[in-house]
Parts: sequence; structure tokens; C-alpha cells
Amino acid sequence: MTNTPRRTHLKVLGASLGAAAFAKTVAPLVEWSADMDLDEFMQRHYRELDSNALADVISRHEFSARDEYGADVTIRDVRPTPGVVFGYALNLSICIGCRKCAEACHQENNHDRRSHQSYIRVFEMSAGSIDFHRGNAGYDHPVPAPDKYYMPVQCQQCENPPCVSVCPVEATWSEPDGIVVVDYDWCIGCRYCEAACPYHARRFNWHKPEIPADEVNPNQGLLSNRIRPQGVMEKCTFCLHRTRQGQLPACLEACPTGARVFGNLLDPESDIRWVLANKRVFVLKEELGTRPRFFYFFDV
Amino acid sequence: MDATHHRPTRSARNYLRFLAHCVAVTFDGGVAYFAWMGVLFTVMLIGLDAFVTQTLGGMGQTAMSDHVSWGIYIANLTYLVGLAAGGVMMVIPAYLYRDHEMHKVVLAGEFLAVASIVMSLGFVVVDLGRPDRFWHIIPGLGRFNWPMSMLTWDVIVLSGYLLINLHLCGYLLYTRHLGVPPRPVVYVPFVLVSIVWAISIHTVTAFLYAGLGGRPFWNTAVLAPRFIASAFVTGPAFIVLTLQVVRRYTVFEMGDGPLRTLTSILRITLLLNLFLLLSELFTEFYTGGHHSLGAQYLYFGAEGKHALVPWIWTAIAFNLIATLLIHVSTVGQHLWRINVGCVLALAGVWIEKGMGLIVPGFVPSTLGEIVEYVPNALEYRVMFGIWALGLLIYTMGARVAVAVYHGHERFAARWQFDDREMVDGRVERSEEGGTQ
Amino acid sequence: MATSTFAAEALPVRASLLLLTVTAIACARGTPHAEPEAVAAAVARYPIDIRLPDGLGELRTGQVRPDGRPERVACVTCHGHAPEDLASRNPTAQMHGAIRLNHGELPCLACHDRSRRNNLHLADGRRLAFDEVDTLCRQCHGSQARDYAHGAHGGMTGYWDRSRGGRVRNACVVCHAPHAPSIVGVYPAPPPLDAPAAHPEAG
Repeated sequence: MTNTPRRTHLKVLGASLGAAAFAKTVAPLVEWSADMDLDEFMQRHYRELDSNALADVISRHEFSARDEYGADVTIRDVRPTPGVVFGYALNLSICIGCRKCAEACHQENNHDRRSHQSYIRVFEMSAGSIDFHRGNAGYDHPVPAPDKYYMPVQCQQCENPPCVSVCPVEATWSEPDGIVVVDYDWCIGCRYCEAACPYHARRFNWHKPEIPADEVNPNQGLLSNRIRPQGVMEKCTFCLHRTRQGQLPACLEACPTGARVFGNLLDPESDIRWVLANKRVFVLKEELGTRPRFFYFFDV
Repeated sequence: MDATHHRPTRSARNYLRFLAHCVAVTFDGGVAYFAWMGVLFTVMLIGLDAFVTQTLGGMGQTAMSDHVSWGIYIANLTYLVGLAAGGVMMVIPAYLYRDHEMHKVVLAGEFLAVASIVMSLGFVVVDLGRPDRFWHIIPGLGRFNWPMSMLTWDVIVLSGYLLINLHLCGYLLYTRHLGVPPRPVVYVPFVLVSIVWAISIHTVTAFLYAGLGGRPFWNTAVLAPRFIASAFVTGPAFIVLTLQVVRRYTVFEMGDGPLRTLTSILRITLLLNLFLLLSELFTEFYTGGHHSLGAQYLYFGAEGKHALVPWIWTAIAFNLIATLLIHVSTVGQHLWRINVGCVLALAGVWIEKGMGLIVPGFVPSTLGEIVEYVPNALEYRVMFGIWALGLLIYTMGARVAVAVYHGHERFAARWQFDDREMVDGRVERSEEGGTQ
Repeated sequence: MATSTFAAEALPVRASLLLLTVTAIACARGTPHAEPEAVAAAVARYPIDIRLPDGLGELRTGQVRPDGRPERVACVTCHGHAPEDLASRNPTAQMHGAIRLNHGELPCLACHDRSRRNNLHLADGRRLAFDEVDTLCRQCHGSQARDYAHGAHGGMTGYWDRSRGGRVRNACVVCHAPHAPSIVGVYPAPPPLDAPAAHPEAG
């Protein structure tokens, strides 16, 4: 074979066509990246931001909440309080399975309305069994049903969290007050943490969240309930934008029966410590060594 | 043979020129070659288009969910890391056992490694929700959770393996082209490292799953050995087939020796793979209980859901038939049987350690819910796109290798090399360059 | 390595830090409302307000008012403050007909004061106003009362950290109708959209 002019022309034509088709295919991607702020692209990890950078990041997110959702929001970076480690306990004897906690979470944490997301999943369990394989999260009948009890499951804020170990980019970590948080601006969306979590506590933003402007909760935390971007992980933070200011988490306030107990594990006078000392508490999947800070108990 | 004394800068420049010419060679070929490359390029673009759609509109367009959060992308990643590692089954005989015939074709294994790793990395990228943040995982630029995260190990071993094999392919082709013997100090250490490294890439990939205590289906010590065994099935099987394609459609000449060696390897690894599978099945089903629910779902279905059941039994049938065929056939007499066996083994392992490994890790979920996963058209488009990219790279590699091996004369004539310049004026080349 | 939350040596240090912090905040804010429960003297805390249900000290007669709302009559309408002569009255008069008593084996007068019907009474005969009803409940429901006192029973809103804000808690009778205290079924909020169909009942 020799390179005749005709042959060369054909090749040039083919190569040009190929290049054009390639350019056409990636055009939307190029357009999208052109829209993206360079600062946004280059933004460092949360823990590397100084106060100026942090203020910039916050104002950018507040702006985009207005721009994209039509909502005036205030985002704060509430830091942990020294001497506080949060713990949560749940009384299975008095939980009636009404899902008000899951619903409150949905509202409080600016969850996607389309998927009706919530960090809490309530299982209807068969009496005499703590086997989730016999439980059911999809029940839809008056509660409490006979011979059933109800087990809400959310992030257990493990002391030894598998999700943190596996994250390749340190986008998720354990804060000094025990809350496992996600830097939504750093997560690459590989979902390894979702595979690692034994409690189905992590959620992925499969779409850009949809929330009507009037339903957006404007009281937002940078590491908690601010509206998440598409393609990143999210999880329960014990409502740290509330709890780090001394307030109770939204799921607890919504609980009509008082099945939920929240407080500072380091304060011997706290309600949570009373529960740990006086109730026969257990944790989920203790055998995995995750050391949850979320406890369950039955009234004896 | 001449011991050439390359001056470093000049050598580097010549080497880069050589690589540029290699790329140019891939734009030369017959009608069939261009048709094949055209098809691959088109499929690749279709996949790229699907990937763009997925990235902009959200991963919700795939069939994955919070219950089954990894799907066919990670399944292919797992398979391809195995294929990449399997290439080492040519390297070991060629370099450690000095199998000369194998040595002649060992580049096929190294190019397989390169193409497979590129595909693996492709499958990692398309599985990311935020591929624009890929730089976060680059050591030095982002934050690298090493040594805790097995995914960072995977990044290291995969990119390291890619570099090692690129170096080996490039250097061996270059010396071959020059007709000088490759200098052992420049490549033998890399060959030895690559052998260990091949094992490591697949071990690390297995550890990625095996380390998750919340997923009992994966949390088994036999996972890494199974990965290695099946890798040593797919690698040789793939090369047995491609060597014959190269032999048939190019001017490259090759005896049956490498095919015989690879077939002997397959006879062992196929059995080993089945044995490890049997060990796994025994533990799962004799013990029973919650830890076996994933396996239960995979092999028999659970609660009326059994999307994977036909697949996994097909895989087992394929693997058994392949084992049988390859054991009762010889390269000289029943090559076609061996070829059928290789195809079946490739397909069988693809199912077994692709979808058959990833999906049951998520079904039932950690809280016992059974949500099924069946990949949708978008995911298949992305998948075929990446496979097309890999085959494109592999074909380009074969094209260059054949051009170089078939004769530097013609290679040089077409691309107007001044070979004497390339070896710094100290040319003393043998006619066929049979120096290795 | 991860530090243990309950590391024995860490605890007193952190607790005293907390105490200092709390005291400092309390001083800065002035003295909050007095707290009835026993609390460490140095720690000022915001109060716990107990929310009582509407209609305490009223009776639903079972009749409907002209505006469509259920008729309610305050107990004092009939039962004045003076001691009453019970013998002269029919205890199941139609006024109380709507009450379906389902509270163990208890009769009306186990809780309602025999002679002053606008009051409740404890087992020792001490009279209570209706808004002190929780004290009455506690006589029998000791374990619930104990849990309630430690925040492990009964809904609440407000602050876990009472050096920063108060709490509002429900009185017993907000959730438990005193005449039929068992919780009745409610319809739950909708299930998650990604929940699979229920498991078939395992044997």
C-alpha cells in the first residue's frame, strides 16, 4: 500500500469527521465546565479553608440558593463545642412507627422532594426478632400494628466509622463532637462510603435536589442541611446546625411519644447518660466493631 | 551486537520521535483495519455521549440506587483489573522461564495490561458522581486518604501498573525497532516488578470489597485468591484469541508454542478457579444464616426476585464447559475447541466476577431490603463505549507491534526514519534484529 | 487512633470544663428562671415548661354545639367549690355519658375528688388542681414518671443544652387521654419511595 493522494485525502477527511464528531459529543461538557466558576473548581477541602475563604464559600452557596432555588437562606459554619460529644438513644418500647421523625428530617434537611428523601428509615419489625430481614420499611397501615414494633434507623455516628476509613479523598470525617460530616464540595461521588456503611445511613444525590422556594429551610449549616449539589454523598448530621447551638435535633422534636433521647455523652447529668446508665441499651451490629453513638433500648 | 552509548538528551528525543511515529503508524492500514477502527471510534463516541448525559443530568439516569449503589461500571472495573493482571501469565514464562517463543509475543500481554488498565480507569471515572473533581484523588493535588482507603491503594497500583507496562511496551518496541538488544538494566527490574505488581493490583481490588464488614457476601478471605485465579483464566484466554487474530490478519508470524503454554496455564487456572468457587459455595450454603443471603439471592433468588439467577448459572455452565473443552483438546488438533473454551471462560468470568460479584454485595441491603438492579441502556452505552476505547488502544498497540516486528525496514521506509541518527551514528544492526 | 468517648481520665476534665463554660454563660446572661428540679447550684439552667392540653377541667358531653364543634362544659359549671353531697346525685348522669372509661380497673373516684369534683386527689387524699394532673399519674406509673423525669419518655421541643435555652414538654395527658390512656393507632407518614414491597411473612 502506498500513500496515494486520494488515499491521503480520504484519511484527512476521516480524521476530520472523527474530530468533529468528538467535539460535538463533548460540547455540552465543555459548556458546563465553562459555566463553572474557577474558584468553585479550585476550592480546597473544608479543613484547609481560612476564614476568608470560608466566607467566600458561604456567600457563594447563599447566592446560588437564591439563584437556583429562589430562596433567601443563611448558611453558618457552626463549629463543635469543646466538651461535647453527642449521643442518641431510642426507646423501642414507645416508638409507634408514625414516621414523623423521617418526615421532620425531610423538611429540616432540605431533602429532595422528588425522591422524598430522608436520613431516617423506619422498619416495622416482628415481635420477638431484631432481624431486619424480617422487617419492612414500606409499611403503610395504621400504627402501631399488633405484634409489631418499630425501629427507626439513621446514621449511628460511629466512633469507628467504616465510611470515613474508605473515603479516598477525606471528604468525610469524624468531628470532635462525634458527628460524621461530609464536605459536599469535596466529595467526588464514588459511593465507596455507601458500600461501606453497615446501616444504610448514607444517601447519594442521584439528581439535583428539587425543593420549592417556599419549602426551603433557610436556617442552614455548611456541613449539614444546606442544599446539596448533584452527584455527592450526604448523611444525617444529628442536625448539627441546631444541636451545636444547644437545640434538639428535628427528629426528636417531631417525635410524639418521646422515644428519642439526645444529649452530651460527656455530661454525667445528661439525659442520654441517664439512659445509658439505667436502661439495657444495645447498638446495631455491635459485632462489626463500629461502636455506634446511637443506642436502642426497650423499657423493661 | 553493539553496545550503544546513548547520550541521554539525544536518546530521549529520539525515543519521543519514535513514539510519535508509532502513533502515526496507527493511522495507516488496510480497509478492514480502518473499518474496524471506525466502528470502535463510533461506539466510543456513543459511549462518551451517554457519559456526558449521565454527568450533566445526574447518575439517577442509571439503574443504580441507594440500595444498589454500584453496578455494571464497577463490575467491569473488577473484571478488567483481572484481565490486566492476567497478562502477566505471558510475562512469567517469557522472562522467568526463558520461553523464547513466548518472549516474541509477550508484548501482547503487556499491551493487554495497558488497554485493560485504561478501561479500568475509565470505569472508575464514569462511576463518579463528580468526575470534575477527579483531581481531588491525585496525590499532592487533592487529599489522598492513604493508607486507610483501599481505593487510594487501587489508584496507586493501577496507575503504577499502567506506567510500568507503558515503559516496557515502549522500550521493547524501540530496541526492537533499532535492532539492538534491550539493555537488561532498563527493563528487567521493571519486568520483575510488574510480575509482583500484577498480583497486587488484583489483590488490592479484592481487598476493596473484602474489607467491608457490613457486606458479608464480600467479606471473605477467599475473595483475593478467587480474583487472582479468575484473572489467570481471563488473561491467557484473551491472549490465546488475540494472538490468533494477529496471526491470521497480519503478516506477523508465530508458531503454536505460546498457545500451548497459555493453554497449559489455563488448564490449571480454570480448575483452581472452580475449586475456589466450590470452597466459597460450601461455606455460604453449609453455614447458611444471614451471611449467605447474598449468595442465596445470586444462585436461587430471594423473595420472588431472581434477576441474577439465569446469569450466574450460565456463568457456571460456561466455566465448566470451558474447563472440559480445554482439558480434552490440544492446540495442534482441536484449536477451535480451545477457542470456544476461551470465549466461554471469558464470558463466564465476566458474569461471575462482574455482576455476579458486585450486585449480591448490595442485595439484600445492609438493612435486609431486597431491591434489584438491572443495568439500563445508558449504562450499556457507556460500557460499550469504554470497551471500544480499550479495543481501540489494544488494536493500535498490535498495529504498532506488528509494524515494528514485521520489519524495521518497511517501518522506517514508510516513515522516513534515519535510523543511524536514532542510535547516534553507531549502527550495527542484524537483519532480523533477533537479539532478545 | 480514635479516642474513646468514655475514657475515664478524660471525663472529669471535660465535665469540669463544661461546668465552667455553663457557669460563665449563665453569669453573662443573668439568672434565668428558677428551676424546680434539683440541679447543681452553680449551673444556671433555662426552665422546662410543661405544656398542658386544651380543655383541662372541661367535659365533653358528646353533644354538638350549633357551630358544629363538640360541646364542652367546664366542671365548675356544675361542681362548685363547696363539698358536694354525692348521695343525692346520679353518678352516671347524662353529662358524663360520653366518657368511655378504659383505664385499667379504675373507677372515676380513684382520681376525681369525691367531694370536690373540680379537683383531683392523690391516694393520700390530698387534693390537686387539674393542671397538677401529672403528679396524680406518677403515683401509679412510677417507671414512666422516672423515664419522663430523665427525658426518656414524652415528647419535647427546645434545647438539649439548658444553659442555652429551655424546653417545652408535654404533660402526660397531652398524649394519654386520662380516661383511656392507651395510645390509639395513627396513620403513619408515607413510606420511602424506594422501599421494596414487604417481605413475605417469614415462618
